[in-house]
Amino acid sequence: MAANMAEGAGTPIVVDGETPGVSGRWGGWMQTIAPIAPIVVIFVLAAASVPGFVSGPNLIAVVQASAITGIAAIGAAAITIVGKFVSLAIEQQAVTLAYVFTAMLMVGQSLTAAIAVTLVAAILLGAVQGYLVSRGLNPIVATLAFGSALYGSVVLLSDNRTITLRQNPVAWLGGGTSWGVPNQAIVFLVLLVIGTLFLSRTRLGRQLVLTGANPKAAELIGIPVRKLVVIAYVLAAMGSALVAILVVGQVSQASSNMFDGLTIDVVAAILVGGIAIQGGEGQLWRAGVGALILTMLSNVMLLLGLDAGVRLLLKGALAAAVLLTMTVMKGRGR
Amino acid sequence: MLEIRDLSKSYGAVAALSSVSFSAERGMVTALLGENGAGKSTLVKILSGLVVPTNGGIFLDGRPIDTTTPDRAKKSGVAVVQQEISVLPNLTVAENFMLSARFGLLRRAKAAAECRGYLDRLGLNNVDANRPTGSLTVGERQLVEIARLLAQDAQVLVLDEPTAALGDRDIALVHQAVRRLAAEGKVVLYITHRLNELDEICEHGIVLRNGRLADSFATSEASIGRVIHAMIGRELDELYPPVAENAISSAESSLVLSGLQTAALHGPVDLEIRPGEIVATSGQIGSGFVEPLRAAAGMATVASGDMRLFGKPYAPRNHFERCAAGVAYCSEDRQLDGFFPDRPVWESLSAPALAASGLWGVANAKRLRRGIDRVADRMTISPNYRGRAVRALSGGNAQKVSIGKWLSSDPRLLLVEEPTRGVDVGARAEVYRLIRDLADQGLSVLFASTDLDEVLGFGERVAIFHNRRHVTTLPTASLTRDGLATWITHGSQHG
Repeated sequence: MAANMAEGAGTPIVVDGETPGVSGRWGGWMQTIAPIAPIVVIFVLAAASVPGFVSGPNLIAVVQASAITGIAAIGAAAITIVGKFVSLAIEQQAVTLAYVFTAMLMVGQSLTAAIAVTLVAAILLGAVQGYLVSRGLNPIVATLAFGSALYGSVVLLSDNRTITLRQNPVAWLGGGTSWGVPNQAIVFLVLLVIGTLFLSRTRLGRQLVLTGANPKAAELIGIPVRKLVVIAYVLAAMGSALVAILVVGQVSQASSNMFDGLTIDVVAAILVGGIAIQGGEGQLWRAGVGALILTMLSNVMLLLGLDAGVRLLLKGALAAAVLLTMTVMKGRGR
Repeated sequence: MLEIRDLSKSYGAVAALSSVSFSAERGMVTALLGENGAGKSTLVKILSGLVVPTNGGIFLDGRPIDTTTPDRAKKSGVAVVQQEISVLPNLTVAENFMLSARFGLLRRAKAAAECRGYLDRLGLNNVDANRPTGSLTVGERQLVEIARLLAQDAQVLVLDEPTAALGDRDIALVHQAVRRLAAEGKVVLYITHRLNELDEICEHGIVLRNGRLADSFATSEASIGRVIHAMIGRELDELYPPVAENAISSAESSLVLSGLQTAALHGPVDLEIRPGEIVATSGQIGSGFVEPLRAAAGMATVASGDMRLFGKPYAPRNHFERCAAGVAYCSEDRQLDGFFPDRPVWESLSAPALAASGLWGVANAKRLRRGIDRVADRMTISPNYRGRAVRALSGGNAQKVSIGKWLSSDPRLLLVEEPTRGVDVGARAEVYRLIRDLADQGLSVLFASTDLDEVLGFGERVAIFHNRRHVTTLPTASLTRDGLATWITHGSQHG
């Protein structure tokens, strides 16, 4: 028996010869750089053909413009990574939180109190969506309904008025620059780093990824899957809260249409960046890169003087192209 | 006669099948054997038209047949029952039958009448053709699938582990059906991991290893030793590891079930497991033998009676509470929920430890990874593969990951459903040894199995279930295979 054990212990592990990964190393490499490639392509094309694109102010404007989508996308990516697609209530919750923040300041509360109340409100909004989804409701339906109801109540409560701050204590953050770089862009980049570290270096982050990768297996090994879903939605709502504070700082007001199109931009950024929509993909920087690509594309099209319709069309085509590429590469990897 | 001539299939530099030639006679059941990764599934995929061979040909009665697409394979008379049961649970039996007819309207009464004959031929006399397939047992569903092939008038039937998920009574039914198919003059290729099926129903055996033909024999002349040698390329003198003589023995019980009853049981279960002990529960499918595990895993509601873990009351309501109590559980479908297929091996191995460490705080990837090296060494998973996706591992190694991952969180009790279902014979020995090693260090193991040889060889005691009742618990040393079979089918010592 001892001899047999020794022999058995030496059994080499074999890669299943019947399902070899044809794409192998290079497929994986391609998949990693795929999201960056469009940035380079768009950048080079734009630099060559669009006058004024490579100017300092324009590039800063691009980063600034991508910051808002990017920050919201980094938060929402937690939902994608945990395997629950996304929240379709992002713009509605950002609007709500912008009203909450502005209103707190208007009634004379301190900045700290305003931020604290906004964050608490964000936690509540996220927790409600997360609870619904963690109980088995379809994330698309649940968040769509939630967003709609939320938006309705906010419009009702605010009488659909734009509320304006006379004194804006966060103007420096929302509109200011440090060393020539917009503060919004700095927040975006810092958040990207924090988010990346969070996913790879914290227990919570790693468990979010595992849950998205295989929720059944995660549950069996004792990961509190439902709790994690709630936490993911709360993180997304916190991202929206940050976006709300930054934009209120920039424009000194809250209005019901201030975040029109944000949800779709966030979903597109997540997809274009190459975060697997089925979950379990732990690279958060992709959400940031996605936001950059989208904004750069919009910027180029704007400079080229394209119609709004054409711009939307091209944006949609890009998202579709990236999705298709990822699907094809995944298929080849099988 | 089906002839495979010089069949090869390579993916880039990897040869999944190299120059395999053999023939299978009409009227005989030909077993197709081999470990996971030996080339069996490639061969099956070629026969079913899912994969086009790089080289070689397939001949039926001397004429070449075209299996380049699933449709052409079907027209050529080749029918494959896949390992995963593909009947649609929401449709009735008759509707499932009609799926293979492509045109025309579905007339339920006519369809039901048509499939009746095929069902009866397989011994499914008591199954109503208008019942939803989902309400049948797994075994019955498997038979419906085979009946569907009968209806297609196939000449070559390829059965990919048809009995892997079945209890003994259903296995007997399937065997009967397979023999009948052969007697009708069809070519039957029968893939199995259960070597005892060789003697039971196969006349001829073909063994593949590393994509090549390793042996071909008449089953009446081949010893089990020869078959295993052909399959794994070495001797396997001991499938089941012996109990260590200096094993930890403790007076204190790890798990005690007293008068335990769940909704799926008609009588109470009394069972006691000590540290270092491996105990089996067994019975036919549907006999309730999995209930003790499900209750201990927090998946079945305890109606009455109680459970104690190391003397303390134990009543987990979910997997989180079970894990917190130090109880590990592996479901029977570990391919589905045993690991994280797209993530690196080391992440699956360290996941239970990560989950046990709670949600808050820093996770040091390097430390997690180092922590699993000890685990992976024990499971003989080479360091080169620890960073690769679990998906890239062979089936047996993936099984080792799904059970062995629990090592990382040092559980006190391990619950395993069907520890070696779908695991080939070489990896099976490793799975047994892995669990035995853990038990020798004081872990208690409770496993549920329908594989009688496994129950007798690997379990020290067996709790036998019949008709949703726990009928007795016996030391396996005092039982013969036939004795255990009688207990399981009749619920008593005598048939």
